[in-house]
Amino acid sequence: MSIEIVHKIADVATTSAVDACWRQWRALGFPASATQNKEPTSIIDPEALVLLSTEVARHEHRLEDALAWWARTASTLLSVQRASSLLRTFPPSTCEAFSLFAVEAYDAGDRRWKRYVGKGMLAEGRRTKGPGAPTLTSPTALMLRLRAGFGVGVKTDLLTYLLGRRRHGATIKEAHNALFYTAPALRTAATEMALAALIRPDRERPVRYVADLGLWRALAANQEATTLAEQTNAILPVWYDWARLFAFLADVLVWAERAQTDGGTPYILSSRARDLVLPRLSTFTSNQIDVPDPKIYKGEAYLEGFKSTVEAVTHWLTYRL
Amino acid sequence: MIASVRPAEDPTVDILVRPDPLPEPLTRAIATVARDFNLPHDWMNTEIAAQWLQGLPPTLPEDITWKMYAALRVGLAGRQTLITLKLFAAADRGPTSVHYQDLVRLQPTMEELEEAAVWVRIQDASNDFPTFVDQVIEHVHRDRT
Repeated sequence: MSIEIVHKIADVATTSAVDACWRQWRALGFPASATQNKEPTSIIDPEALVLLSTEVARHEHRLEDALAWWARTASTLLSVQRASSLLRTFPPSTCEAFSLFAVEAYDAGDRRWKRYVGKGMLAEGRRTKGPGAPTLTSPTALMLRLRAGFGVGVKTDLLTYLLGRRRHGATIKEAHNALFYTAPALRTAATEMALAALIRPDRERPVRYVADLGLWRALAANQEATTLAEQTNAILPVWYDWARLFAFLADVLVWAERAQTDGGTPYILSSRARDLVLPRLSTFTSNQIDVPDPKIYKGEAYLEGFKSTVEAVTHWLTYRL
Repeated sequence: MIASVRPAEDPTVDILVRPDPLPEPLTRAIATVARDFNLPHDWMNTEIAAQWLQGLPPTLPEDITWKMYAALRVGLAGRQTLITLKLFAAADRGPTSVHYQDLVRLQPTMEELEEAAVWVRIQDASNDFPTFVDQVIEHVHRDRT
């Protein structure tokens, strides 16, 4: 019974993760046939995409081509600091596999990845697939587009995040949870950007910062919106916590793989599943993902609850991506 | 938790020692099980370890069933030892305590209770204590039937 649930969870998580990766890579210009035709509408978190792809590539080897392509054509648009922070929320296997990406980027001339090169080796005679440069004009590529325009850094990412938060804006703490930059760095960035009137603080405590949507809408929206009316009515892409949700998916994949290879009693599997879910309940809540409360399940009964949780997250992800 | 095992030179011999403080990995495992089954955080504790100063039930060393869980070897105290310790705790805490309810659930025979009482009666120096022990036995006899 428990192994059937493990298989089901593995299937759901793998399908969802593979689909998420391909949809986002395709939006950035990598030739890929997505399992669903729906284009992503939310802002791509590039470090989260690279890390999830790194983990999922063990199941879907073609993702290695997408990673190699990105490493060779656009690794400079990634933040090493942010990738490093995000890595800590992903399973250890992601960190090990990530060295291959670092080797590829380093080999292509981006020396910032040196510390992650480790023991990774490039395959002999490997040919990079994909176009010579990524496509950054899609609204969903907003974070990369702003980085390409203004540089990789905390201010660019904070602006992207606040644009993606639309009128809700965000506190420094919320920005820290989403972007993984330190709170002091974000506070300094926000203060200076507010001085420049690029974003505005409200009068509440804690202060919420909001990006001036009118100022940025034309840039953030689809480039095809050329008239003023089109630009004014353009729908801005939304920011979701892909980093934390992708890390959860990666953890689920590793959990299922370990359950299928090492076994373990149903109780042990359920306990490990709780380890993955409990620290992320606040992430699920803040993203309004309705998952069952682990406390209502005793012991191994939680395997069913975990299945429901993974189904809820993957369902949510499919429609929000 | 009554005791830990200290490795001896002779691998066939187990030396029982006071269990407190619990090893850190075991403390973490206890907390995990409490979380997973909605149990009180101290569902497994070393409260009984204080009894090492007064003496443990004489049946304990011979009344252990050993079980292996991967690298973990667990000795489960046997029925007579449990009845003895629960009778002691019930006499100490009264008939509304969880220990009394545990004792009733064990469905002890009068012979088992009497054997346990021999040791329990001498664990507390107060004059009334043997009377409490007898009262508990009477209650158990009544409640289990």
